[in-house]
Amino acid sequence: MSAVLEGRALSKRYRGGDGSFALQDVDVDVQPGEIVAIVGRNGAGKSTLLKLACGVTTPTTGTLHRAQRVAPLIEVGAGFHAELSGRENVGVNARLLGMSGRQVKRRFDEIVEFAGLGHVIDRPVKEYSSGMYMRLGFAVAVHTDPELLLVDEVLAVGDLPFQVKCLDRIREMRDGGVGILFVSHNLAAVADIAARCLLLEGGRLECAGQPNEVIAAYHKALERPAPSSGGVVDVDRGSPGLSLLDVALVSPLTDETPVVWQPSERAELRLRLRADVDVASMMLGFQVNSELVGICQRWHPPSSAVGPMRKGDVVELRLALTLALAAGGYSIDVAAATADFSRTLLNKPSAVSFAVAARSSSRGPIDLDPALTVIAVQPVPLPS
Amino acid sequence: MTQTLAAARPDAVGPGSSGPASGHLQTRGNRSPMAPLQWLDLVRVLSVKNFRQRYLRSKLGVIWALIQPLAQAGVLSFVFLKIFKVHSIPHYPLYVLSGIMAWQFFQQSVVGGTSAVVDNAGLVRKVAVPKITFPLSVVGGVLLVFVLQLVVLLTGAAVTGTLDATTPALLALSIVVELPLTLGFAILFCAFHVSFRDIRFLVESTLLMAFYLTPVIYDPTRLPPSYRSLLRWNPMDGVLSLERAALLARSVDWTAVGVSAATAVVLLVIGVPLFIRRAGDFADEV
Repeated sequence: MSAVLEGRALSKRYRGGDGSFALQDVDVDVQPGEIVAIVGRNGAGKSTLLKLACGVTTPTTGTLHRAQRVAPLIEVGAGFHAELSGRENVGVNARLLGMSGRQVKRRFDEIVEFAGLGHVIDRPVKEYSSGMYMRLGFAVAVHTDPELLLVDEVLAVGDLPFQVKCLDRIREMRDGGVGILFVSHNLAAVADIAARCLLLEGGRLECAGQPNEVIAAYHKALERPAPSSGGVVDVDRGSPGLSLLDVALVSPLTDETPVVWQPSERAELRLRLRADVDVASMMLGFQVNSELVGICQRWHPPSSAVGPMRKGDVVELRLALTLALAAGGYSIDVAAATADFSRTLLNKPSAVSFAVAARSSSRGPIDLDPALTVIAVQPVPLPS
Repeated sequence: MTQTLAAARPDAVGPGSSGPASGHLQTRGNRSPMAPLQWLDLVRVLSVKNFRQRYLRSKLGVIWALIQPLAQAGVLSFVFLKIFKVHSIPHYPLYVLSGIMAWQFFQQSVVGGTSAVVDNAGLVRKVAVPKITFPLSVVGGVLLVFVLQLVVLLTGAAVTGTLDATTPALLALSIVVELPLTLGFAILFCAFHVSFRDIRFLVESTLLMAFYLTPVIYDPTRLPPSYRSLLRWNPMDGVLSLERAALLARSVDWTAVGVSAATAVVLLVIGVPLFIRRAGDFADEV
């Protein structure tokens, strides 16, 4: 079987832009039955690559062959009209993705059942939650019998059971011979389902290969300033009072940063701060964010924890954590203010990001590190 | 199984046609994955969607499509018949109503069609359907409104007793001329509107003036001959002549109809290939 997507030396420069390449000299292949993930920070060219793959735009240079039936997941809000019912929107959306009227009729019930929206399918979609929107959009796309499915951050919306269902469906489609190109910040999902992974950085293909290796490279790349921003950028440029000299999330056992953390693993956030002004007292704040469910925990130690600092003083801190988290991508924000909150001293969103691996047969947003022990089985006395 | 999209513009073209080559890239032609019938079905569904969403929020819904022109015709009839005491046009209320409805079809189609690609930016960026689908389905949606209005016009003609055997043929012909004319303008303007957003305002204000240069509220046959022949260059003149011949048993100005039809053909012959050529960049520009 031939590739469902084969791009060679793809470059894209947007007309009317600043003349820089959004994508430069990128090769991409997706075979039938293969899941290929694209990772990279915002602006790295991931969306441009997806646009080329689905054919809405053409490469400036390079060649692209693709399968006939390509299903993009239409992003929330783009394909749906708020005033129309779910039923009508399915009809419009499915036809936009190349389904015929007959196919829509035949698969309608299946689509609605997959989305789990049978009870509201005749209500206008403006009454839907964003998760319900996404479910309907995903349901339509996966029922168009594509040869190539393009998935853009579908796992960022929707509740956890539906995300699990989506991933299951993606695996099922892969097993059925569909090629899948998958863009995600959810590194755990990438590591979990992708056969190959591409890392884009500043429009170029940084590396490609085994997901775990590429994710490790991505973590490395994240420690460098974005290439598009040009030159060296201080990690906390503009912070008025404190500089974040370095920060890392490491395992206290190995002193290293694993590619993917195990659920309920112990971790340590190690950071060094330098005072750029005299600081009498400060309030530190930490916030752990999940890509799936938002804020997991926000916490600040007592303001007396870090004593007065004089200009130039450097303080080294370690925050011990148990990553009682379900599979997914996470980030930690670090912030500091004067004790009376009159002045922000440091604000560093996503100071570190990390991914937690899946625990088998576990569902839900957190991980309680469950362990089952069977103490004894008391046999029922046999009737005499 | 696979389709070659080497540098061609896969979504810019209509079903079955092939895209132009660009730059130094090898092009081996390409086909849109959509069959023509399937594409027409998409245009139909999107037209109905456009029609429905226009009136969905209002309590009276699609009745507004009738109330609006009826009220406008009512006011104009009152002003002309009662205040100015102009009685030179027989059945003036129906005369002006038919003019308003046909004009609104033209005006709303051209204005909506001009910005159709920009208004559907979300889809244009995401789904590889032929871009011409968007102006077509805007015009399609307005056409459905007009078809509804025709029922009112025919009822009016039945009341005034001006229906005759030629009515169906002439009415059909008026649509056969007006629809491509409307599409021609919409597609041509839409092709440029994506890069030059001023087009929309230009079109809106030009149409505002064009309303008075079109015999919507007055009778062209009563103008001095020199103005009359000048007015024939307005492509909507022929359309209105046909429509009123159908509904009010007036005579057809075939010269004006010829001008309308020729304009429609010229616009489409120029506009469609131009649109297709420019459509390749729409996804990047919207």
